[in-house]
Amino acid sequence: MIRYLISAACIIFGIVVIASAMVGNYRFGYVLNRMQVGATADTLGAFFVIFGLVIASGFTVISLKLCIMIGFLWFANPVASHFLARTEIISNENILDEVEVVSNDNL
Amino acid sequence: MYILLFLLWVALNGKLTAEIAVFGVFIAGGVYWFMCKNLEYDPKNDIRMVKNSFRAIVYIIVLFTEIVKSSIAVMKIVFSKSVDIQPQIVFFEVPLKSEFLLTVLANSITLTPGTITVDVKDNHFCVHALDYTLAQGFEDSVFVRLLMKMEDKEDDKSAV
Amino acid sequence: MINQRYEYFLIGAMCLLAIIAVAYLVRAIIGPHFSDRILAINSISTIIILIICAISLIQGENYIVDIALIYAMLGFVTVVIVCKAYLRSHNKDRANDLVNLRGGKKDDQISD
Repeated sequence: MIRYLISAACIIFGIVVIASAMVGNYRFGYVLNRMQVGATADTLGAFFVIFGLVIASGFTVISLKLCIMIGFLWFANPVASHFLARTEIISNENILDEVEVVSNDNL
Repeated sequence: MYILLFLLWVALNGKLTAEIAVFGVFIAGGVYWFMCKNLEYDPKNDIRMVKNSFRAIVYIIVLFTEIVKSSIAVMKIVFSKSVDIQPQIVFFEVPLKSEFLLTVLANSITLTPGTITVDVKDNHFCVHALDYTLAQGFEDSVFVRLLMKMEDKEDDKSAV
Repeated sequence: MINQRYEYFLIGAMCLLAIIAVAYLVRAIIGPHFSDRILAINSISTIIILIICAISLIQGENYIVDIALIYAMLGFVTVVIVCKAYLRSHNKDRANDLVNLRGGKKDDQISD
């Protein structure tokens, strides 16, 4: 019983994170900022929801597969959001209106 | 790596019988051979992976705490009354050499909410950050220090 | 096999996730730029993956997680290929303009 309570707490926390990402998605005005908040949902929210499911299912094949799922999501999501950011920055003509460029290296 | 492939095969099958185990041995061997032949994978990497596994676990724990911390920072920004943020694009360079470690660093910067790696060229990074407070101190962050340690160890080994 | 109350809780959680997915869909429809839409669709695919995982737990079948894994791969490949195609069709002149971004900035500073 206590296992199910812990798992429910994890899932609720994950859903709160995803919902806050959705709120941020409507509050921010520019794509790159929205992308940052979306990254929160993709990493922490997905991790907590799947982790809650792992706890609930105990030591079975389903939990093993869900762990593989977490690994795949954590490898694939950064690459996807990197491609999106690159697309936005290359294709947007007025990028300098939105962000401020700071150069810290001496190339 | 061979063992990992075999375990992945068993996990995706869902149960372990004699039939599945025999097939798994052959199929994992075939995939491993393909990786060595076409994907520039080296059996030496296996030994390196085993030796670095402890550091990798420490790295994953540090990465997770960083993700939680910066998630809370981002959620604070989301739920604050007025959204006034200064997004920045920061260019910086890190003294890492190995391509694999550079990829790991780029992935973990993107995985951390609030920062996204836009481009990597050799060891020059181009990072977009949500706010200027999140954009400070990339060159000597925890990730870079841990990865530097890993690379030093690798250099020692290759010298020996 | 699984607790009855917990099953109701999972169904409620799935309903909440579905509501969030619909909100993202609205975002994808009204999004002013191309990147807005792709971002919303990426988030929708993540949420659908979570819903499929919850379904697998309710049904107690492990092959449903495989479906979620394939869905995740499909979403990832979709984002990457669409971004590549959009970049190729958009304009080829600014192919390596991350360097231009920094170069332009530095030139401005020097001229100032």
